[in-house]
Amino acid sequence: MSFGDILGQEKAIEVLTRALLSGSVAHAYIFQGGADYQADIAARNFAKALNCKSVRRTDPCGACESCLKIDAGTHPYVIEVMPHGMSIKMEQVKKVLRASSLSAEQGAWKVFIFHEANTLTTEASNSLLKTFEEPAGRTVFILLVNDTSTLLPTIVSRCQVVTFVPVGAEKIRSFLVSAGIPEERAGLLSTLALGSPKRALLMAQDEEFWALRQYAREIMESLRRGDDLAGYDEIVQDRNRALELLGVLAEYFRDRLVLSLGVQDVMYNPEEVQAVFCDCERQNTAKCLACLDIIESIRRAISANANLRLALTVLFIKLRRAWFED
Amino acid sequence: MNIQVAQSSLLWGLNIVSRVVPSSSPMPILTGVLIETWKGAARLTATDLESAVQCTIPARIMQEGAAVLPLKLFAELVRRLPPQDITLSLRENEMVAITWEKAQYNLNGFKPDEFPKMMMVERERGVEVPADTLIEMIKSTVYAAASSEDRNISLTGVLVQVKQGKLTMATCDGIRIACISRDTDYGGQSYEFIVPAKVMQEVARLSSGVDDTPVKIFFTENQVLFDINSVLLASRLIDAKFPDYQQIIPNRYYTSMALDSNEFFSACERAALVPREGANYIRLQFSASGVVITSAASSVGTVYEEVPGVLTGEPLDISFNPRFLLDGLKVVLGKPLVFDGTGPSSIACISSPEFRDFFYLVLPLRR
Repeated sequence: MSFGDILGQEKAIEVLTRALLSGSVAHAYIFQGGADYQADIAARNFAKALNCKSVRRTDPCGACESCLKIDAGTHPYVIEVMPHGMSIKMEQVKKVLRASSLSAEQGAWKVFIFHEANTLTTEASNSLLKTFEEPAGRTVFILLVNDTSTLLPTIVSRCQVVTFVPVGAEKIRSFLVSAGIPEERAGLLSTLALGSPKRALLMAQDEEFWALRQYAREIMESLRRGDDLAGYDEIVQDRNRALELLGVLAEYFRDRLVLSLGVQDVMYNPEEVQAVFCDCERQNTAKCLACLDIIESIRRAISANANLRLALTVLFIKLRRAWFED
Repeated sequence: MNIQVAQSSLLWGLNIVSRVVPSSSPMPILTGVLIETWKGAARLTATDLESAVQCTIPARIMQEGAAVLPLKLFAELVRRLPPQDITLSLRENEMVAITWEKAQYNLNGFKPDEFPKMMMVERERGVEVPADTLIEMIKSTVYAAASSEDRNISLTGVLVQVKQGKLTMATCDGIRIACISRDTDYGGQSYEFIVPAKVMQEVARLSSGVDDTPVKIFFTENQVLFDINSVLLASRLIDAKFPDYQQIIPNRYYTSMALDSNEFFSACERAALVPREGANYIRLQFSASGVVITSAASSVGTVYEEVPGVLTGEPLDISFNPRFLLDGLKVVLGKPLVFDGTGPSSIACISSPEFRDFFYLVLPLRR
């Protein structure tokens, strides 16, 4: 992948290319926005561009020995650190500091990429401070985070922050279409993915996600008609799926709420809402809020390990009462 | 790749390179050994990204090429093979077929292109050292390198200084300094670099097998290469500044005592047994008749031992962490020993007139 393949991050890419062209590369960066907005791809690309053997200076060739090794994760001077379990630990940071203190081949850049840097333990973060303060030549640290507020302020103040922003819906839609995703799915996902092309693509290819949406629609239909719920036994087996289902239901009621307030253009999914709620003319703001409250309380109960079958039964009874019975 | 090698030489090669290979690594390819055809032989390489070891074994080449196999498993297998010729041939998807007689093992490998390149090719600047001299120099210094990176990363390495006619190695961990110099026929410009202590230990180990062949040491700005009887060990250098240890060497000593190193070492070693629990120090009182060694631990008992010696200068009452004292004494064991002191709470020196150009400086414990 080249910088050109990164969607909708012109500003961030410009900052990075300018650094590459002028040679004034900072010794520590925070890529704010994280993997959701393809900052991980940008970080790896930056490492490739710094070490690329070809003459192009801003975009790596992707074909030289150095580029191939960075892609394979076997480059001796480009090291990516992932959380071990829940966090990035002191022991891992020590290894990085050790590697950063070793000499590198003439002209090579040592690049250390910390994925999910918000999981750095306090102890590990602190051990990085001294290195960030006294940068060694041709060494770059890149921290990927969703939000700089999750890092120690002492770390943030020593880094250059490059912000990766949510990508516009239209850009995501055309990106999905060009990736071969059917038009109607692409349209829906462009809003549901909350500006993350990566999330959009994952959702698009996840058939279970679509099956779950289908199931959510069936549930609403059954609730409206007062029928028995089909597929109930299956969903009560899987806590994560149940939580995802609640997410979809919440999304429907959220859209219905937005509609009742008359601000249609911020709806995720106008078509589906029409299908789910057959009464879209009515003003039901209070009811929408009540249903969202119900969904949230059940979500919390399920996250706190409530009995899944009971929790969902309560959910459906309450939703039916709150929404469909006047 | 398709080659035929003798089991014994393959096993020898795998044993040599296996020392640097981590048993597990976030980079799985590092647990592998690169096998490639090279000038009519087979070359084995392993690396942990800090250093790399390479050796060449005789082979009959049917087809040129390269393969990477998981080293541990491959070595286990080769160790159990009958002593005869084995064929290694690369199949699809990095799989290597290992065949002998009527058996065939197929092992999954890694992509050779992805194997990190660590070996230095440049051989411009270098110095030759007899293997036994090199081993002596490493063993006299490497133990005093810092074991953790917390203080100053440069201290985890061995400082190597190459000057006209002289090779020096020094280590320091904040409490002690060990330094040794030897003559060489090096005539070029002066250089100094820091080699990770772990790598130096490996150099000593690999050098111990070779008889008279001198070890060749080549260095650049960023790498050092040891050529030990055609086994190559390359290492990255520690990119930090080593403290100016010359500054710490005292100009003059106020106390100096000549001792029998065996006698003094044994006495100190015995005395160190008692205070192992608790304060952990031994006290040395130097006077005209010799040195009195005492130590005590209230829960264990007490120690009193006299060792005769010849005093020059003032008497001295000084205490040490026994481990730091014994490490230095071990180097001069069997040779006449000179203990020099500058005061009860300042630096002391261990050296021997028969082991020239070596000194060990150690800080005492403050009481």
